Amino acid sequence: MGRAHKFLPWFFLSPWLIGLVAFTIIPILATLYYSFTRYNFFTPPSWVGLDNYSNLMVDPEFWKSLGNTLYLTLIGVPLSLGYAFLSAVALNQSFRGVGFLRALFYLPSVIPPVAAAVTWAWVLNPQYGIVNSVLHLIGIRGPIWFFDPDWSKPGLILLMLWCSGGFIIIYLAGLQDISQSLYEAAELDGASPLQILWFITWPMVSSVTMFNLIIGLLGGLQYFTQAYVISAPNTAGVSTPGAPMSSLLFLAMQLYIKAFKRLEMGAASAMAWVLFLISVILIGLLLRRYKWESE
Amino acid sequence: MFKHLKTMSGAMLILILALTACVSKASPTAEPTQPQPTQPQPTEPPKTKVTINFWHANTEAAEGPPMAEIIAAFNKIHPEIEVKQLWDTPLDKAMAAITAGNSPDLIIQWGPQFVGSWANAGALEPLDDYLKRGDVDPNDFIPGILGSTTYKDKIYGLPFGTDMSMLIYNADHFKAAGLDPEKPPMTTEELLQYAEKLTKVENGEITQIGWLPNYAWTHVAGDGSISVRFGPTFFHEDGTPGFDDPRWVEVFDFAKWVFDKYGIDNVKRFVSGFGEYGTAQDAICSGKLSMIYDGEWYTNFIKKNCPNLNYRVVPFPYPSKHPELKNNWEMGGTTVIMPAKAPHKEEAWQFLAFMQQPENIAKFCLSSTLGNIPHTLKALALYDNYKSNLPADFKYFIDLAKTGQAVVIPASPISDEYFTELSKTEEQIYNGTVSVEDGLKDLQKRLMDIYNQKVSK
Repeated sequence: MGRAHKFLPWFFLSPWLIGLVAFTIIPILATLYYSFTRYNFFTPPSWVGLDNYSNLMVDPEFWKSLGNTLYLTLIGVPLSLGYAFLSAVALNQSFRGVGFLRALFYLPSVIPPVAAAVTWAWVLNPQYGIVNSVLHLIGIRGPIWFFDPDWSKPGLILLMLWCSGGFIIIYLAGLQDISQSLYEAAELDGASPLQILWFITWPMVSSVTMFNLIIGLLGGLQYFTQAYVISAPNTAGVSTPGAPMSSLLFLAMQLYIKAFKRLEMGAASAMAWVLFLISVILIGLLLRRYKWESE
Repeated sequence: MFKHLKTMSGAMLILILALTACVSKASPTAEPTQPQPTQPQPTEPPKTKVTINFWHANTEAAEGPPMAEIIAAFNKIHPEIEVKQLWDTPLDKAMAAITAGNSPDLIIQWGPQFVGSWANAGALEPLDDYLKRGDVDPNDFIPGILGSTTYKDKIYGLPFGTDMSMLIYNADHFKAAGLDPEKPPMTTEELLQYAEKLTKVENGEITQIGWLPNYAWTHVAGDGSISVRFGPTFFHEDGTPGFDDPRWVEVFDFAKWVFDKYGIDNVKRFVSGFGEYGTAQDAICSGKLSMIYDGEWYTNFIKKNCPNLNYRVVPFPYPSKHPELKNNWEMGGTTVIMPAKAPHKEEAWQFLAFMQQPENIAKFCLSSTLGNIPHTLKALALYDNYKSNLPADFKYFIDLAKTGQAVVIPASPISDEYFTELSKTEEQIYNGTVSVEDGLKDLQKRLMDIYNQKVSK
């Protein structure tokens, strides 16, 4: 072992290390510093202590966007997991054309978010959208979806379900790992298909559920693109961010507006850290509960 | 292990130092942190060629060709300078470039609303000293227009073309509704009477609507603001928001009429079926909307998308209570700014002054496929040279620009919040979740809080 041997690994690691430090660690620490300052990009930051955080606590836009984000995360993510699980169970059966169906369910999740959002804005168009047209056939006057503050988030959740092919794939892999002997034993004991699903399949994929849940939560808390596309004016002109009635104003969008439209980099950094803390707390709670349950 | 760590941290330290050295070399550290107006210096031809980076926040399609001509002409007579243009660079991109020390020399952007907050942040170069040189004549500008780029008594940007909205209406709809197309509504009260006659409802569904206060560019806030017709206070003299002015109640009573009359959900459902604005499927071209308050460019859209539309252009009605406002119009328009950190201010000014020559303004405004209103009197006078290429009705906009009284919304450091909060209140009032008076009271309070937090400190 010469000196070179000790140095060499670090030398080979250095491209990645430089990247990590310069593009991840330093920026993250910089936002922590900026969150205690007033900083507008153009002039040097000035220290204001906890002002940004205390202003956030009395900012109605922050609470509105937090409420919307939690609504979408806590309702949308469990729903899409449930949908993904049931779809995966169905797609795990062997029948003719299952390969084609699997591809069909997965396809939407490779569509870029902007394209998916634009498409769904038309699918849920109150006048010409396919959903309302079908509802009209059975005599229902459909809601006005993204134009109504009460229906805009459910509309986004539908889009979320449609795009949950990634979860389905992971569930499928998990399902195929379950030992057939468990099912055989259950069948011998006379368990009904529903009992098998609830007492064998669901617990056996709990680690997959956990993984999907964490990925889903992180995605939900950072939700931006689809809401930004749908609430942006589809014509020229002025529009309120998160329209209608701020019902699609999410934390990440409010953060973007604060930083880049209003030049309040300090306040935006503080928001980013609050968002980070919320993610840590939510996922920490989940992991603790998961550990406790599996023990 | 300890030794390992030491080697690693040593290597890392060197790498970081090397990196920061690179960064600090790229950003001009000698630059003073507070923007200082450069003293105008006598021009001395530099030895090497200077490149002026000219960034457009707009898209190239319509305004690219005339701008390219102007730049080519400038580059030809200034062999020591080369102006390079870059399109489709939104302001946040420019912001990132400026912070990283690669500031462009000039930026052009639709709408002057960002000027106040950028000036307040120290990001813009004041142009007053340059203007004293006399190569641009501010007295030739449409009176008042510099108000949109003046902040704390300093001018931080120059207009380059302006915009104006007028009432554009479908004459065939008028005839079908028993109205005389040659007798447009003169007052805002008449406009609503006409709108009622022009709106068709079948089985509870709207199939044609006379007028909308919030379609495309028409809004209470922003460019194409119907509010200027009521003469409300946008900002008080001291820079605080003006929503305590009772004229705002008149604005909103007028604007919300259509939603009170037909129901917000019914109107939204009908509007959701409009094709994209500016295409052959948009509300006017497809005959779903009878009257629109829109800009001079819209005559070009009609020419392109639905040339057979039988339409008229007239000044937007005024409230009968305020006949003194009969001839006012709101100036919007495109703005050019010089970042405080622009590396070649002297050369950038030379180009900016060149752009502002009447022939160049007229060329840019009147020969693009979009169309703008020239913002100086001399350039307006050149309209006749271009009119053969423009829709005939463009002349009404030019006439109003020459004879009307221009109104400008002053630059403010809280512009973004101002328009966002105003739009929110607009939405709440239309949805009926708040009364006009309470909505305005709350709006004023919210904006005062923002103003106090952002400006007084």
